[in-house]
Amino acid sequence: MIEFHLVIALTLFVIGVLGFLTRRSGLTALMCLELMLNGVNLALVTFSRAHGNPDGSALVLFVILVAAAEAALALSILVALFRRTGSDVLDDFRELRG
Amino acid sequence: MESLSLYQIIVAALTVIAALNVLLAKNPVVSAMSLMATLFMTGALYFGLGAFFIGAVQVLIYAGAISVLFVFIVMLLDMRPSLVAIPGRTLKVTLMSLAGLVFAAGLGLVVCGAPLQSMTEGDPATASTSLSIAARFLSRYMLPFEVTGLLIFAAVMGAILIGRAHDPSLRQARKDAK
Repeated sequence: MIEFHLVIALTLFVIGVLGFLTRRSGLTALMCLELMLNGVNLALVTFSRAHGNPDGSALVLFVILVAAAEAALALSILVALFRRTGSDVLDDFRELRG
Repeated sequence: MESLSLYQIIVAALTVIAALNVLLAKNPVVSAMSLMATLFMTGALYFGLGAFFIGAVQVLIYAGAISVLFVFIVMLLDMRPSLVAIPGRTLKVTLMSLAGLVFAAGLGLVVCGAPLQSMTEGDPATASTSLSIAARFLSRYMLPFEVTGLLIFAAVMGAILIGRAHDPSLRQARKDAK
């Protein structure tokens, strides 16, 4: 059971990584970031169950809280960028390019 | 080792299908809804592992607040399914997918090959109950717990500041003051 859940967590993480690297829109890239965080959370809860140690679940709570704060900030940055340039495609944000 | 129940298999399959749908859907609203489904099913998976408090928090915060925020932003940005083809994009997608798959293979080797390190062992049934998590929060993780409150406060202020629409009358007032 532990290995099964670890494989599911790995699958979620890998789907998140693939999506984050290949999606055009910034918003779907952020959604894939949330998928990655969920994969990590699942792995942590699985290990907490495997060892009987609540430290993993406590860390999961912190990850969920920080992910909420990060999602709020990343989305507001995306909205501000959209207002400025009119597009949400990540390839169009080139002002910082050397 | 305990055996898998049918519930865990079904919920895990639904989670992976919904996650793939986030990735593969053309319509961004469908993507956001699939994200909500993934987060909800992950919460169900936590319930299957005996982590009831974490599962409830996951459904409340992740599926109930964060994914709703994503749906709001999709509505705000008025995203349409993308119809324009960009030259050179297929090569980029292929190369990045290959890199991602190599990374996945490496991670899979590490995860499946490494032995479980020994930690402070306890009873698996009571590992993730709210009582044991609260005992940790109020003793060992007290400082990160308090700092997280500050962090969320700062994030709320930052989100309001960055995201508010700029008022033209304010800009004029600032120019007059100079």
